[in-house]
Amino acid sequence: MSYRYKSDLSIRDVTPESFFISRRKLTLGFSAMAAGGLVGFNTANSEEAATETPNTLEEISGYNNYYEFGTGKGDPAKYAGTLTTEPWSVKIDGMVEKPGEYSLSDLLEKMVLEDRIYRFRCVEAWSMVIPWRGFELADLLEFAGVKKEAKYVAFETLLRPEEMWGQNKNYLDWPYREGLRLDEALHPLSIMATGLYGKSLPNQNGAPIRLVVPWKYGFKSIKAIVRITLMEEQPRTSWSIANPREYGFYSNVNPVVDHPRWSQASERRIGSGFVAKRQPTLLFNGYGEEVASLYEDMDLQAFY
Amino acid sequence: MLNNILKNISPRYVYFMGSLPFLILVLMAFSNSLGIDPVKKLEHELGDFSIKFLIITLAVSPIQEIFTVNLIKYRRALGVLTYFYAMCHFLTWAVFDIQFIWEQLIRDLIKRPYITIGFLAFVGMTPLALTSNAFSLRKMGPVSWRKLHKLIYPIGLLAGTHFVMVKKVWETEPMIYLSMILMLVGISFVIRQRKRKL
Repeated sequence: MSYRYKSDLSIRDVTPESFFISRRKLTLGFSAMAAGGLVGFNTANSEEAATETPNTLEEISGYNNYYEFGTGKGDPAKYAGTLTTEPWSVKIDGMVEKPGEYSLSDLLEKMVLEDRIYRFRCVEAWSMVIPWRGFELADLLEFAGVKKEAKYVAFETLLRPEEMWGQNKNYLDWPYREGLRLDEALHPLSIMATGLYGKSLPNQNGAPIRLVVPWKYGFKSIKAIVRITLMEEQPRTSWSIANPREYGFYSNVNPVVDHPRWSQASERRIGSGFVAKRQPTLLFNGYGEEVASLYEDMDLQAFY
Repeated sequence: MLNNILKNISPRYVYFMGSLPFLILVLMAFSNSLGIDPVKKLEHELGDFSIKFLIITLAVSPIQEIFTVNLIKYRRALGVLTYFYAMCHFLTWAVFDIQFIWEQLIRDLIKRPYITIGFLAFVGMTPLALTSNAFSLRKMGPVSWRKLHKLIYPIGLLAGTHFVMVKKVWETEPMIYLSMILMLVGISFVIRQRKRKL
């Protein structure tokens, strides 16, 4: 790799795994409610809002969108235990030199695991800070040998309705699918995560292996990956199949590109309770310096 | 038989029982037991109770017609509770979720159909809640009072639609609620048609 990403967040920014109840200054929130409309704490543009409040393991593993296990935020934590993640293999196919079905343990032997603390921004306008453990997707692609014609990378989640009950419902067209442009996939910020807080991923967070693309909305970061395909044409992706008007292929975090359901101008950081101030959403989730060049000539309104 | 028992139960008990969920939610909020995202949890629970009370309110006259159980004297309390929970639901959204970022609040109300529809239902209920007292009934006269309160039928449909649209995919629970509302509105309509004919 020509250059490796260095996080602007250090291990000191991470809240220890224990649950910090003191962080939740609830009383304050309710006195504000009692004062009703008179108070008004609009501070979306305040300096203070930019400070990072990292999340606990309990928050990260208890508040998830993973429709394979139900649509409630608590459902994945409740039901993902049924998933067998061992043995696990990932099929790499399409325009690669070394296509094949690789066992995850064999793949991991070839990769360099490292810790990455990333901001995580959901399209539903909430966010977290998460200490992932994983390896750069570029390393995996280099191992597989990307052919010249390849322009996109497609990903697929495991399809196993007997262990993932949500797949029996028609919420989405299963299996869950996602995709990246090849240059996005090769970007050093794009990682395949296998762990959290230095331990294996909890099932509800996408065990045993998931994608993390921190400058895009969370749904792009597909979980429980069993297939990676290099292709020439832009792959179809689950949420844009379900609702093309609402979810585009790129889905870069962008405060000025409105989603029909949620204003993306600001976000709520999970874990700060009732007094959590909405904070302004940053272009590319704050990773503009690293990734803006990927989109230089693109109209981000049209390619949302 | 049931009607005889009901004779002795004052609507005050409905207010009392109906405000328990609110009190429990407030207690939970103060004791940090609303989960990882307490704001959303509170917002959703309040909305959920509002629509539940709405459905019970709409069920009063069909229950009387079909099962001859008279619950009419509780209907006002049920309606007021529906409005109370809708108001708390709306305020939680405005105060804790959007946090009075006016620009975003107003844009959300106009631009996002599921929010617009929910807000219309809430606004539409306001005159009904305000006239839910003996004084207004006397002042307006029973004919125009009843006419005004028929608004609950279109409002009910808006509220049910709001719940279905809030979800990103087609989910069973809101569909059941909307179907119940549709059914109750339908039954009430048929009852009225029949009475007219008599």
